[in-house]
Amino acid sequence: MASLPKRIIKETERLVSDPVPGITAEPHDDNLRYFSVTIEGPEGSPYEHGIFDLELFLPDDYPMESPKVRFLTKIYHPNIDRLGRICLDVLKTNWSPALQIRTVLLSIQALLASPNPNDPLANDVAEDWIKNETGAIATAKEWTQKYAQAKE
Amino acid sequence: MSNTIHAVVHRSSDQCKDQLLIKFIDTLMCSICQDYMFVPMMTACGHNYCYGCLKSWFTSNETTELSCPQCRSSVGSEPNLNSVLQQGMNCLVEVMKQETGDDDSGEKDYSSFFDAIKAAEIEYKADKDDNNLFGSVFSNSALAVVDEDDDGIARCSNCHWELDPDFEEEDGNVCPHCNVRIRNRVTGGNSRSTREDGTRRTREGFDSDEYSDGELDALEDDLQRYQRDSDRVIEEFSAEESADNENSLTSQFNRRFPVPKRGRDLFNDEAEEASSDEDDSDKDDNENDEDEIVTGYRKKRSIHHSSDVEQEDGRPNKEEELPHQPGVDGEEEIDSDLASFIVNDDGEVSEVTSDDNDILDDFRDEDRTPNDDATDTSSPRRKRFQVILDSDDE
Repeated sequence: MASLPKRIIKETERLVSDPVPGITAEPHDDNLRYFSVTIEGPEGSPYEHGIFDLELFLPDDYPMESPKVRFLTKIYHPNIDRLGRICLDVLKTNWSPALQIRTVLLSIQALLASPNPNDPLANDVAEDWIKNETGAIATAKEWTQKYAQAKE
Repeated sequence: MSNTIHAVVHRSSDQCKDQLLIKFIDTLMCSICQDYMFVPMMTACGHNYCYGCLKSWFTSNETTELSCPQCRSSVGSEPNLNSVLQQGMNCLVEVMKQETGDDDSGEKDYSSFFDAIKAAEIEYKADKDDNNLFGSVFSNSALAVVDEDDDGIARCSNCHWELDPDFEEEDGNVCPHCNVRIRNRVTGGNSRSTREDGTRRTREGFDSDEYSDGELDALEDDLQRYQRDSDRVIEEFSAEESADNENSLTSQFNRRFPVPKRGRDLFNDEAEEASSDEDDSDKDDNENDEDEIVTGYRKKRSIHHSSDVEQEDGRPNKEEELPHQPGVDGEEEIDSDLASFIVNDDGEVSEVTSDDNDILDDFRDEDRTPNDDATDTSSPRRKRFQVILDSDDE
């Protein structure tokens, strides 16, 4: 790996020394641009008490280009498809180099707290969410119980 | 007044001075590279970044609207050097240069620090001398500006030429008058009209910045209500149509404007010469074509058959029958019921299976026999139809 930009080193140090509550991010030893991430489901959401695994990769052009983030844990959410891809503006058109790993992960946590079925990525889930919100939330809770539990 | 702050800082504790100093030094940090700004550039919205960072952000986003990384506001004009910040930075650098082997800053390797400053300053100076600041992204481009209070038409900020709402597709994002590249999207004004004529009128069709949440919901409710109303009207109308009703619009129309038999023949006369030569080849070499024709024939026959049955006195009403508009008097249902039957000319009804070729052969033979009616030798389909009509007349 070519020399790591100072910004990435600084961000990594800060993620460890001053972690965001409910979020962990650790770089892999063999590739310091690749992070293993966990996000706790926000309180009061159907994902509460769930611990979701994600992967995050910083492309060569970072911070001019957004980090690539993907859910590894199965999740029932209108803006997250079955491959774990996330529909979030700051990861696409609204990326700004002033954003950081921690702000992106906070945005994802906020997305869990407020799903947006009107701008769907997983169409079937979004449809379910619009037509039968209580049912969809029950399914999301069920999936959280089933797939997003901490590994002992 | 100016001495008051000096006096306060002078009297304050060392701890307070340290905190103050750290806060000031933090203002010299670039939010893009998280490092000191050796060449701080300030955008029109008042945010500062390194020259190098801002240049790579603008050049990596050349095709879209340039925006401030911190507040996302559109950056229309070239950022300028923030000389106040640069002076502050230079003061710190002077202190570092005077120091020899100190350890309170945590920066051990000063030489690489000074090298970085020099490199940043050289890059900026070279670009400025070449008149190539920010990769010329500003000097070679203009903004599409819309004055909503005026006429709401987008204009080139360079020459004030009117920009067509579709200029992005037509002219490759270039002003048609002064040829500079337009670096932002046309927002508001006439572009909205192109957005709203989509067939699926969902929330995405609206610019969410233009409406508050309540307004959007109200609009959506209105749309759904209109959609329901129009669906109901269409449903009622088609129900009325499909009912076997003497007063239905279609049957009224047909009674009023019957298509005369002569009209059909006249049409055939015109087509006769053009297609008579191709007649034989059509029949022989295209099996699929034949099948299709037979299906068409069956369809016509079944309608004749059904109208015979429906008429109590046994005399088919020619006026009702001849104009074979699709959808008249439940033709579709009758067709599907009787699709597998064929009525011979002598009135026998036989079932047609896929490999029942006898009837098809008869049918073909009949086609080849010369017909007395001179007006009726045009297309095979028309000819068969005429045969049917003739046999019904007998």
